[in-house]
Amino acid sequence: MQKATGLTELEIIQYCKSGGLKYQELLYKHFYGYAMGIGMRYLSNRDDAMEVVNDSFIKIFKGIEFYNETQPFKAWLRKIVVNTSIDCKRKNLKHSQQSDLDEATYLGKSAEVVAHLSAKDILNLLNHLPEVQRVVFNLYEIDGYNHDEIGSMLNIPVSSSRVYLSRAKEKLRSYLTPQKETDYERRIR
Amino acid sequence: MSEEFDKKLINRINEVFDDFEDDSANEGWAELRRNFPVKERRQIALWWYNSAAALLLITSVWYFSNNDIIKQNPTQTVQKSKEIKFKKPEELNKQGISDTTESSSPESKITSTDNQAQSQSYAGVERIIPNQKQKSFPRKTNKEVDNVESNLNAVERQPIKSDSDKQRLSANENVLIPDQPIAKAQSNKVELPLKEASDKYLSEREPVKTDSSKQLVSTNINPSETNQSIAISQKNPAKELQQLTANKKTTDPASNTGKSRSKADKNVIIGFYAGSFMNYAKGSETSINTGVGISSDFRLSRKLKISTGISLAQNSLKFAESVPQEVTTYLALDRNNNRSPGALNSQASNFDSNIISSYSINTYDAKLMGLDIPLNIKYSVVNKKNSIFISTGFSSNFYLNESYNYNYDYKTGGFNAQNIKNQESKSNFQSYNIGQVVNFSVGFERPFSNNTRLSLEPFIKYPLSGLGSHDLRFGAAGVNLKLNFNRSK
Repeated sequence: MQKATGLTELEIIQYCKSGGLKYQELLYKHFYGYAMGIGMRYLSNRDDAMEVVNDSFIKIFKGIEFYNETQPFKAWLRKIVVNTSIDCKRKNLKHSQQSDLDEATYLGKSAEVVAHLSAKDILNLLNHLPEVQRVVFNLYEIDGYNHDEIGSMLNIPVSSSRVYLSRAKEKLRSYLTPQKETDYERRIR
Repeated sequence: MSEEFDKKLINRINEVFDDFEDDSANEGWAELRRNFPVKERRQIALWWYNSAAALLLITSVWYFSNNDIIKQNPTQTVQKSKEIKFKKPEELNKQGISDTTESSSPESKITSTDNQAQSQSYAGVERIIPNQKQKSFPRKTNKEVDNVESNLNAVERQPIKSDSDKQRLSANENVLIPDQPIAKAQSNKVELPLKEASDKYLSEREPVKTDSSKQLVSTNINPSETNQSIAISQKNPAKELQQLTANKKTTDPASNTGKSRSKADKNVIIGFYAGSFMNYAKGSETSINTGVGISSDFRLSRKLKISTGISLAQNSLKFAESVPQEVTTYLALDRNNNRSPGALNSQASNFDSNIISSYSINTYDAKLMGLDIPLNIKYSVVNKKNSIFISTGFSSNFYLNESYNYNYDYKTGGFNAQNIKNQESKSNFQSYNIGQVVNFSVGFERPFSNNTRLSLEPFIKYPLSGLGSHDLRFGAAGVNLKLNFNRSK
């Protein structure tokens, strides 16, 4: 996350409300990394993630005058990036819902390996999940939505959302089996 | 055990992505700047389009008003010249200029004087006209013009007594002035060829008026007198008549501008139309709407025209079963309206995500009153008395008034209780779409009266993108009944 010299987040936002392009750029660059992180959790393609981030920032710049400064900006940004990501994926999700789910086999886990996972490792893990499972996992576990909300957002039954989450978790566990664990350990060392 | 593992994994993901950094911020910003700020670009584009439309309208209005002036000008010019001449006699009378003929009868005197005045004022020469005769001047008619023409011959036979008269007459190239004082009469030898030529000419122009013309000519002839000037004109009277006629044609603004005027008139056609149409959109019930407008066609070639104008139309759509995706997306993201689902969602994002869990839109009605500014190319397939044409182009829309009424229900996450809400949002002068609607129409046109043509034009409008402030994608299909005013006679 880039630091804006001499200006706080709140000040940048206030300047952005007056429509200054310079401050919009500052705000963009300040929160770009955070927004990209969210986008890349939902979208496997980096270009798609950048497009989602840009669309989200355009929405933010257009609606920033309505932003309530008493609330954290990051949370507002996260909400918009998540919604935009879902919109982007919605079409793909319809197809991927029909995809077969492999039976995940729980072989073991390593808390130490998890503690050393990098962003790249996590994205690599998420990329191995089917689209819907990945989205449900992100929405529920990382971004804090409940199953009712997820069902409504993805237009799927609440029970399906629970199943997808459960399977996503199982798959993630399966990827971190002792065999895989050694791979990660080797890489870390 | 697995729960603990999941917790650790999730904590790690949160930890990593809360401080996630990416070095492509500059690249991303450059990419964003390609599409942002959109509004400014659109405003500039709108300004240009508006300016072009305003210019087009002003030009067409000016063009037509100018044409009216041109049409009226010939009469005005003649009348003005007459008025000027009528003011002169008093002054000229003071100078003691007498310009009466020596013809024996007072009646013929008056007639000849009058005729002289007419002819000379027409030819640009000041003449004395008795006041009492002013009233007897009829308005400009073809007959009068012919009289003027025939009297031009008579003028040549008039005596010029004073030098000032000579000077004034000499100012007119077309009137021959002898060096010697001229006797007013002419021999029968002279009269015959003149009469023949004038009769021939007048009969060609307007046979009915020949008699009166003869009279006018004959009243100015005194057979007992001789005239050198007549002798000059006698040399080739037919040629002179031609010359005079040609001169008349060049000095007559009506005949001079006639062709160009009618040609110019034909190049622009103004029309008024009223249409009945039905709006269509995926999932919408069809409803009949109406619109009225004004159009102007600019002729590019015999078969090709550019057509533009402006119309006011009401568009209405009613979604009862399926609400379009773009509307759902718009409302979901609409945080400007405090009571929209998007705003509720946004409030939920303040950041207790348990407040609202889901919503669904049940019904959605949209009413948009807007101006449609088309720019079409019109091609005449059949260009006869009854013509058939096809037309295609783009329309720009400026919405004066938008009203959206929708009903949606939502569930609160905490209690899972269902709430139903009716929401109406209205906006004025807030949205516009430049060239986002494709027009296509086929028309049948036939004459309605002398200067008007009536056309029946079925049309279809297809949207290229979402229209209005809710980005609603809708089109229209209907029929326009148009009355075109072809200003040429």
